[in-house]
Amino acid sequence: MPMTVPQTLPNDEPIHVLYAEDQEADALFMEQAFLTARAKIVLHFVRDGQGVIDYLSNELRQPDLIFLDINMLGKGGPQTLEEIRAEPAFAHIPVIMLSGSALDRDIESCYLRHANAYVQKPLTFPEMLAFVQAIENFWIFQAVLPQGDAR
Amino acid sequence: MMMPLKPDMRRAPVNILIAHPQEDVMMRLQLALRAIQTPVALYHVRDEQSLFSFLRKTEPYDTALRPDMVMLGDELLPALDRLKSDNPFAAIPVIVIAENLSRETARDCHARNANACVRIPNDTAGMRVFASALDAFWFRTAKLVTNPDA
Repeated sequence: MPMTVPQTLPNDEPIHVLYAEDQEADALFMEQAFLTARAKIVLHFVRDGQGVIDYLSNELRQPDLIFLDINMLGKGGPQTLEEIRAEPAFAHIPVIMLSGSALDRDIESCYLRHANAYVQKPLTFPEMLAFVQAIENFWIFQAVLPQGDAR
Repeated sequence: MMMPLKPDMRRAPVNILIAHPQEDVMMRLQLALRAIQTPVALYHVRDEQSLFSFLRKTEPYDTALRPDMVMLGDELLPALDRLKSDNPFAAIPVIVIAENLSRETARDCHARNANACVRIPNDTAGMRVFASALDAFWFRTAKLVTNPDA
């Protein structure tokens, strides 16, 4: 069941982030950080990679960004990333991989599968807040996000 | 042309290759990057042929270091497909930079596996904010592939 954290600023449209995470505690941790930071982001949660594919296939509004946990029960992050990149209707959506691993082979593997970025999961709340602020500063205020599909 | 910044800092610098026909973009970015926490070494090529010579370390770039990131001017977009299909280099993040960049163009670039697209600011203050955001996300939050030349 997707959860939504509405974070709007006056007269400004928020961006929509789809976060695939099978650990509820991790999802709540990020949700709390977005609330605390008052980030201009609407978060939608799904529990695994299949949830991402179902969301992209069925929801009217495509997300502006996807956060994909690498190790999930069911369909994992790398396989989901490959499926997103193989589908022309979704291939343009930026995907940021989240993982507990800092192993070089994991990082390289994700970039070779055309992840937009790889981030080691923040462990503490200050680190999570810094992550949220870095996302906001680069992906919202500097990057030009791709035009989504209107269905 | 190689222009290392802060060569005396203890941390290995992040190597950024700017592929852009105009020198002034590189100069403005170089100034802005001086203010960020992460040490950066900035390199510049003007065209696609030089870009791949640099990456493949062929003359006159036979002593070049592998970049940790490529900033690709929109004039050189045809190189994006080559970069992202060339396995030794496909893991290097490519940020497309342009003075004017529509969301439709960004969609096309992302579909061709650009890692990000940015409208490059044309004023000093804007460039500093861009450099700071680049540092916060790409150099202090995201993990880049360990550089074999570091």
